[in-house]
Amino acid sequence: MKHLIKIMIAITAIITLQANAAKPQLDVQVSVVKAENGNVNATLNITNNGNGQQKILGWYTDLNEEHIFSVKKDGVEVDFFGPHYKRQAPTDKDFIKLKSGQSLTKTFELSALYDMSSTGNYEVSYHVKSMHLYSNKGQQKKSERLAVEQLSSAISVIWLDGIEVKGTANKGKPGGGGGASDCIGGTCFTGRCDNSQKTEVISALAAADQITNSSVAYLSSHSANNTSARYNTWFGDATSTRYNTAVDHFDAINDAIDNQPITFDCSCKKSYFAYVYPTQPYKVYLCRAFWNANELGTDSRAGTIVHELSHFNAVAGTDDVVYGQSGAQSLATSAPDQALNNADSHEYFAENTPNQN
Amino acid sequence: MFSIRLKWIKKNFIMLILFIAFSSITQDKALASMDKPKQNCSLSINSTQLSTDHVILNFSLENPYNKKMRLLIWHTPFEGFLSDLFIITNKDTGKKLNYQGPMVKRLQPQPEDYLSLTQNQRSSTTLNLSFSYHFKQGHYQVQLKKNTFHFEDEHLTPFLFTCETSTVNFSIK
Ligand SMILES: [Zn+2]
Repeated sequence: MKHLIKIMIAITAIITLQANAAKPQLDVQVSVVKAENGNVNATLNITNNGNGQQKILGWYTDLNEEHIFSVKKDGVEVDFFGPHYKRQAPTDKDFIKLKSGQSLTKTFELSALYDMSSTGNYEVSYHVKSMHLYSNKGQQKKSERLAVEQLSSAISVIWLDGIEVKGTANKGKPGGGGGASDCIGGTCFTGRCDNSQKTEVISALAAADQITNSSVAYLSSHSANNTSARYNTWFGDATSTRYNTAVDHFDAINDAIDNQPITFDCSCKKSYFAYVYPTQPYKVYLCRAFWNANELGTDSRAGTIVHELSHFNAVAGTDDVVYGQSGAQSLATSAPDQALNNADSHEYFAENTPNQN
Repeated sequence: MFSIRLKWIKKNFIMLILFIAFSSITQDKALASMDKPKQNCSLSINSTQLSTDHVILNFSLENPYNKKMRLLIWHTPFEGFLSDLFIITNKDTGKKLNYQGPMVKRLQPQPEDYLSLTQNQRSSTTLNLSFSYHFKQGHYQVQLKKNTFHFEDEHLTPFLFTCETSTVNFSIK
């Protein structure tokens, strides 16, 4: 037993030594400033103070690629809203080379990816951990491959005054207009939405509100034993349990539109309509098909917003069981319980195109 | 004597009926098995280096039809995490794990959304489940959530295939 402990200490020591030996002499500094428009920007500077060339994995130098900053407000970690990518092991071309004395400087808009809207003391530092921070270790021994490398900066502190929301346009949404980030009347934007996109989103959200109100009105003026074509087409045969599920779902979607702080992100360039992370309400990522869609009607912008909001676990927690109108219609007939778990069924019920009573 | 012969006919008549009935059943079965796609779906968890941030799932599928086909990879492990693909249960708590990844709404499938498979061709993929589900130490169970796969032949005739994979158990220490 004593021997075993000794051996284990020895092994730990070797691993630590190797990790230290591999650590390049990179100095990291972060400075944080608040811009005139209210955005909070962080400038990252990484300098090679060693004698030889050093490498660093490129995506750990980019906030749009990885969660590289720790942001704390009054000592409490602030949630990061940026992407979490699934990645393959890095290849050589993923590394940035820094010659001796060379540095790399990049500026990021922190307030787009962290909630910095409320008043308080914010501490920002660079901190990354990876098994591949400095080199592609595919060829190395297992103990070296598994050693975790890390790189940190000192903490930079900034005091921010939360921005008060004026007027009544925000419909009483909590968190106001999202303060330092970019908000209009309680609806916030990230991912570099331009002005025309913001105008189109505000209009699409109003249309989504309208078709959701119509859905809520339908459901309150009918009942499980008094449904009509509109309900039966998209949700099939009603039982009181199923009907109540539909009522709950549309009440929750309606509440999200009227009372919750919805954020739209315009950075997606894929051919998709949109996507959400169901565990991260109420942020909706809009993609190319959304911008090409009509505001109302089948597979419209308004319907897409209803579809996406229904996915949030905090709203209706729906899944994508089937896609498209014909798929949703056969689902209503063959598996009505599944139709109430299908985001498109909610979208088509709300869009109600062609119009049914 | 007469009554004995009648008995014999009766007995054999019943046998004959049974024989005809039975042979037609086996014939139906043979026809069905010719059309029935073969089951070659497999799901497994790589037990080496299993940790809370390293849960590697292997999925493989052999073309179930006796001809060249293409598979729509939407909602299958072949496209990675663009929807909630798995039902993962923590057996210690009985709770299902929340899917942490994105759910994507798309328009029409594009050519790159299909995987071509020649006759008997097998295709496989691996996914690190910890990218989209949060694991702690404990005992887990994973199964495929969406097991209806959409195939098309060269004439674009659709074939719905039910991928029957078993539930896989694993433990994270
Ligand atoms: Zn969806």
